[in-house]
Amino acid sequence: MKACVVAVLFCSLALAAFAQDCRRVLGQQSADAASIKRVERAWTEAFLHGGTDYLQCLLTQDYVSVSAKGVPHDRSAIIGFAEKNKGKDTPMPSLPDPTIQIYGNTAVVQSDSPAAPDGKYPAMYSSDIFAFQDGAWHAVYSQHTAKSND
Amino acid sequence: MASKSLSADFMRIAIFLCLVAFPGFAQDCHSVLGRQAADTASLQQVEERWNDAFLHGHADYLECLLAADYLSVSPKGTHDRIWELDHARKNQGSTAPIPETPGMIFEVHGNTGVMRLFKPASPDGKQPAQYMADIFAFQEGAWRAVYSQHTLVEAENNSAK
Repeated sequence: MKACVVAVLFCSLALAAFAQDCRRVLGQQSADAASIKRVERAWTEAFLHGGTDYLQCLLTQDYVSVSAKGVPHDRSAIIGFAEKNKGKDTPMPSLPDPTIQIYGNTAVVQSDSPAAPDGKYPAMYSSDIFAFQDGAWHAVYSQHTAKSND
Repeated sequence: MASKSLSADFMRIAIFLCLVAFPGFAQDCHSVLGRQAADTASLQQVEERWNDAFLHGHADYLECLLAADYLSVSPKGTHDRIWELDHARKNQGSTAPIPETPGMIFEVHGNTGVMRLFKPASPDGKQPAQYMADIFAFQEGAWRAVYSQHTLVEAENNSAK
């Protein structure tokens, strides 16, 4: 019984410390479009340069991203891809301004991007879905759709 | 002077009508959408009713469900709320059975709801495999659909789930 109480106490403290740390990692935010824009930029930066601590706080446990080819990648896969980018100095891409819609604590960030000039990426629609929880926006889902040529 | 007074009266009446009509509309949507909670069980019921409303032309349900700026994205482009309503109205009177869609995954994060689904290709090959998602926001006691997206699965990834 005593061991159980200690374990619960330990878990509660660890969880609180983790939440506190994520608050610091994600920074001060509001449930508005300005914060979403900053989060989108920080997300791209973290992914390209291996900022896995940021991604661990940003992505919810059940986060999934569906690629333009129709392949789903979960949170651990995305963090794994970012890990491989540690130490790289890939420049931040210039991306088209997304459309941001906010419905209370829900945000839909939608963009329409042209094909990459080198043919690496097709023209596509992309979306990131966020939920505002514990004082910060958290990414819950993303999807990419290649535009059809017909 | 008289025309200024008339226009002020008109403004007052217009504002009064708006104030009266808006809660009436919200009240009506509450009864159309039914009692809901911000949980996956309600989200699942909403998905079922959405399918039924679209296939059988219940535009009143969709008018309450779909956010004013609802958008659906597919490889062929985008559809807005009006497109959805128009196409649903064309199904009025239809008794087509609602197709089974196994494999829907529901997730709720506070007031944000996500339904995602891997839909395999149809056996006759007419419908390619695809990933679909419907995004919801829980507002004023009910889930509202705010966004949908469809992605075709490339042939070599057909078994991806």
